[in-house]
Amino acid sequence: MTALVEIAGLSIALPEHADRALAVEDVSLRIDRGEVLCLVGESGSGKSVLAAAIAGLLPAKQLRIAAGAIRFDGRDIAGISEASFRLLRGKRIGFIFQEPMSALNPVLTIGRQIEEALAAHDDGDRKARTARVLELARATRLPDPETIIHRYPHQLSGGQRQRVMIAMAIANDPDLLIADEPTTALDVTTQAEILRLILEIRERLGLAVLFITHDIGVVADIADRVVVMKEGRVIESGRADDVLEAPSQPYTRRLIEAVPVLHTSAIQRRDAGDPFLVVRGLSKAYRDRRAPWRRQASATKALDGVNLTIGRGETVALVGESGSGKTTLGKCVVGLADWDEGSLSFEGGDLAGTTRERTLRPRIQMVFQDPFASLNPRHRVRRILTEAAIVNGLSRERAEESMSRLLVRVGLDPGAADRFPHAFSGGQRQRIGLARALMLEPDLLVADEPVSALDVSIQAQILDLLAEIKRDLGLSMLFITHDLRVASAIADRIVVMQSGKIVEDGPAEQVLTRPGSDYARALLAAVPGLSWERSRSQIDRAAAE
Amino acid sequence: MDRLGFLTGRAARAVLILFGVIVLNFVLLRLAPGDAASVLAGDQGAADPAFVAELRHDLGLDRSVPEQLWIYTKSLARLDFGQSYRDQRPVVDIIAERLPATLLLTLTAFCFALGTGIALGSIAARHAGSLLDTVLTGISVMFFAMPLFWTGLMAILLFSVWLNWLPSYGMQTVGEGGSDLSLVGDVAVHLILPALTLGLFYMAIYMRVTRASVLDVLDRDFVRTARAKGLKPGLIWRQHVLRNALLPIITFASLQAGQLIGGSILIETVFAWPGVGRLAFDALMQRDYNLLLAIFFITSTIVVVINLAADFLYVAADPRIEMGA
Amino acid sequence: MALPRTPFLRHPGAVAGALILIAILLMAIFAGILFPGDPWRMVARPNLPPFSPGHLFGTDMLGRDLAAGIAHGAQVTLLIALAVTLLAVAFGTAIGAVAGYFGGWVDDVAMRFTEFFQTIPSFLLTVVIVAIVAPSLASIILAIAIVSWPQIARLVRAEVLSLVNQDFVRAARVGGLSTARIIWGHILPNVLSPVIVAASLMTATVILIESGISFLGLGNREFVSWGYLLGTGRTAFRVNWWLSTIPGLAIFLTVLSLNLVGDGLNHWLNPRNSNRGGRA
Repeated sequence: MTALVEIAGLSIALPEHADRALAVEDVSLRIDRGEVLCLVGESGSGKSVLAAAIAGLLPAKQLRIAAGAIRFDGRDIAGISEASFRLLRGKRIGFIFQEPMSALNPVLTIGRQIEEALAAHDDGDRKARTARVLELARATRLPDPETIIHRYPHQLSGGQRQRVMIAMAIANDPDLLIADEPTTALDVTTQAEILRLILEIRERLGLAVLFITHDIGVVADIADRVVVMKEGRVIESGRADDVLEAPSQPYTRRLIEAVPVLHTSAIQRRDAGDPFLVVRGLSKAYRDRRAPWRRQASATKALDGVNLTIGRGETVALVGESGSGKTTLGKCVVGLADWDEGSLSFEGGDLAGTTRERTLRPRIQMVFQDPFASLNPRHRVRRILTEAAIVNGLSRERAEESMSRLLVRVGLDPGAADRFPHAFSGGQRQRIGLARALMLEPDLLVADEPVSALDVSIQAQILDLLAEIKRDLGLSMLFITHDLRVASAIADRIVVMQSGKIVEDGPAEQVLTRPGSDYARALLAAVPGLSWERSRSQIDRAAAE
Repeated sequence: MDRLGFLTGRAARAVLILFGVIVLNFVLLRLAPGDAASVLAGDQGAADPAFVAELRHDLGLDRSVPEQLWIYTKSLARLDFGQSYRDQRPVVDIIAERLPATLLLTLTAFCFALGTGIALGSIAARHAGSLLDTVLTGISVMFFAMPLFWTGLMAILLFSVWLNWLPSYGMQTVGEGGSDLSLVGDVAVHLILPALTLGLFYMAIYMRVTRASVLDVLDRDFVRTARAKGLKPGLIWRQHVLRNALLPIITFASLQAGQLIGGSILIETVFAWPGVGRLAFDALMQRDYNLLLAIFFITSTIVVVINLAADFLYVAADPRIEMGA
Repeated sequence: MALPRTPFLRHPGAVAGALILIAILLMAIFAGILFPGDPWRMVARPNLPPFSPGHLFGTDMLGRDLAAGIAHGAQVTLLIALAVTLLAVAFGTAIGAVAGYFGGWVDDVAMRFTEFFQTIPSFLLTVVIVAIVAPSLASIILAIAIVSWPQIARLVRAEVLSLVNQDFVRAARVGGLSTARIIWGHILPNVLSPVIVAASLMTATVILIESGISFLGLGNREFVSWGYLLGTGRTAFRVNWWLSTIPGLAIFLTVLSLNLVGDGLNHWLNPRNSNRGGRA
């Protein structure tokens, strides 16, 4: 095989005031024809910048190539003009982005946008192009191609939009497809379909794929070769199997080990104590606020007769895809949303939605998803932690005492109290958020995707911390997540939701190994890296023996 | 959201606003010093209480407030704004005479402002950070800071008084007959200064908004997608950048229409342009509140209609129909 | 990603604007000392052109010193502008915060109300109100405030709407904080910087509106603003051109400086959104 892309000693400079000088530093790598090369790294590793450089899509004002060469099909393209790059892009290099919604023009039909990609590199007639657009829609498995090409992006689902992006990228039979985290914004089942589609297209068109991802499971599923990046440098590269099984660098090993094992027996599951949160027949419909007279027709059921109990000291993972109602249920429990029907009781006392919650609510606290949005940027950590405790009747001295204790408990320096949130990293902020929830000495912690915005290595640390604190304080926890791996790492029990209903509820072992519902089975099958998982657990077992 | 529902909602909103204007007019009319009856009576030199009472009855002023409001609403719906206190002619006739002149002035100014504003604003955005951008932005900031009527006065001083290039007064040269063509030419020459003065101020605003909007769109992912497809820069600019950047301008420009028509009172006063604005100024001077409020109502109605038209345009231009709520 | 703030001093336009503003403020504050006594008495020969000895800006047809008029007029113009801005910001913020926080029908009602005042021709409305209620300092301030608050209300509502769904506000609710405390302590401080920017830009617009009203002869004789000076100078402006040129220049410089300072503040306080800050 010959190399399609060869990068030698490439450095890309960041603007003057950035926290480091180079986004990409002395990187050399090659992409062979027809292979899938995965570029892996955590946020800030420079992987996306590198991909943009290959396609000449660097934002010229902020990033520029400082040194090195990028050879595409033997020709150095590192310094060529925008006009020459234009002839390569879309023709020989196709590009797919992470957010299919914002990557499509909202005011043009998708057929038009696919046709544009063809017209840019072809002077042929319109009729031929229209036929080709339909062909591409079929090739990317868009449903009902004749109608869907006349639709606008907002009328499509996330997965369909990403298929449109793929159709545009492969419109001119390129040699290289660059996919920058193309499935990160999608649900797992959709992700699995898109991955399958990309592999299938690679097979049929024989193109090379540069796939950028942070997800080791995805790497295991699709990569022929892997390049691992960290802080702008290539740390390790090699055949995917080799790197995943026997990483040579400690960083790579840590990255791999941080991925929670799906079928693990490592955690001591505990049996539920007496039920103390009981949800009975909870229903909630979202109505179109601008057309409230259309009652049932347009009302989508966010919750549809949900029954759930959580026992004392138990951790329940609530798993589902976007729109399943899992977040809404969490909001009802914690008092951030009202419901239409059903009841919610906590230690025998009824909870009454968002109003009249003073007596019971402080005992149910919440940890949020986005570590950057969950702390008030204008308050110091001291106020963030103590304000609610003081409002709930604690004296300032007592509140400050528990603040210092909790900061240490979550692994921060007590001196953190006098700083503002922006002084902390994502993982540290999540620790502060956890400390804030613990300040009110809750009995039940609702954690809404608390690790999904974090890099995988930080994710593992926060999960460990949560498990530890939960055990030490005897808390119960409702852990909301879209990720079965994360669920398996922390849950005693797993509850699966789909379209506002609970479709599966059982001990973690059972749901992960012998799911009872079709949907849970589909979810499980879609978890990336399953085959790798098996070989991995065999290795684990071998190591244990 | 479906288009019909959206437009119905918008139409309902327009009716609501019009009703609000009626109520506001009604309240202001009652706040005005002395009621219509005493003004009329005073005019006819008859301070006889019995006569005033009779007049009050004729005008419905002795009924309850809601009844009066209802009567008022009905008369406005018939375009019956009553008599001008001073001219003793139906207010609606007086306004109708003056409306064409104002429409000519404001439409010319609006088209000029929108056209050049959008053009210069997108040029500035396209070359953001360059010297050209700084110059264009500087021009916009300057014109935006000039009081309209002062710009007008300065223009008269420069182009009429000192250079003697352009007429500064009225809409036509007095006593000049001649063919239709020369009449058109004459009006056009008279139009230049007032229309430019009004237009330059609003050009500055549209320029600023367009520049911001284009810069915003340039940052969006789909522009990067268009580049990734290898589209020609001109096509990216037209189909992807401008098409999206101009959407918020539709709403913005239609909201500004009200200000533009309101601004004509100053310009028409400065240039003695025989339009509704000048009429409003005269009404103001003569304390002819009936006429003044009728002008306010009709101007508001025009603005509401323009906004509604802009909503229709927006629906046609944006498949998502998500207005700037 | 938080962009670093460029220092305020790095915006030359804003610095120039701030300096001019300070000069005008000083002139207004010390008008009584610079030009003692009643500025509207005859002090020299009528119709002296600018740069006449002792009368920098010349005199009007009654021999009154224009420079004194400009200095004293600054007091009136700035007083009106500040009063209107304070009123409009207070009212607009209250309406916007309530609409954004509570949403639902409260929001609907508040927004229809706001839209009404935003749609109708605002300058004409102020003129009508001032004319009918009788021109006075209070009626002018009130009338301009009535047409100025909607943009603040919309801005605050939009900001609050996005803040209400931020996790830190949710955390405050889960912590059991009262609604008033959440709005006052958690939401409004985060709305402050865009409101400051909008307020400085609004002050500029207020000065323009006030000058227009006074120009039409609706000002109050007791309180002579720049617009009023300009309006009275207009009758003879073909001959005594400076009588309307110089007050207009004063208005222009003040409005320009306020805009420059507002834009500078915008870049400084909201580096990320500075491209979007259209004047809605």
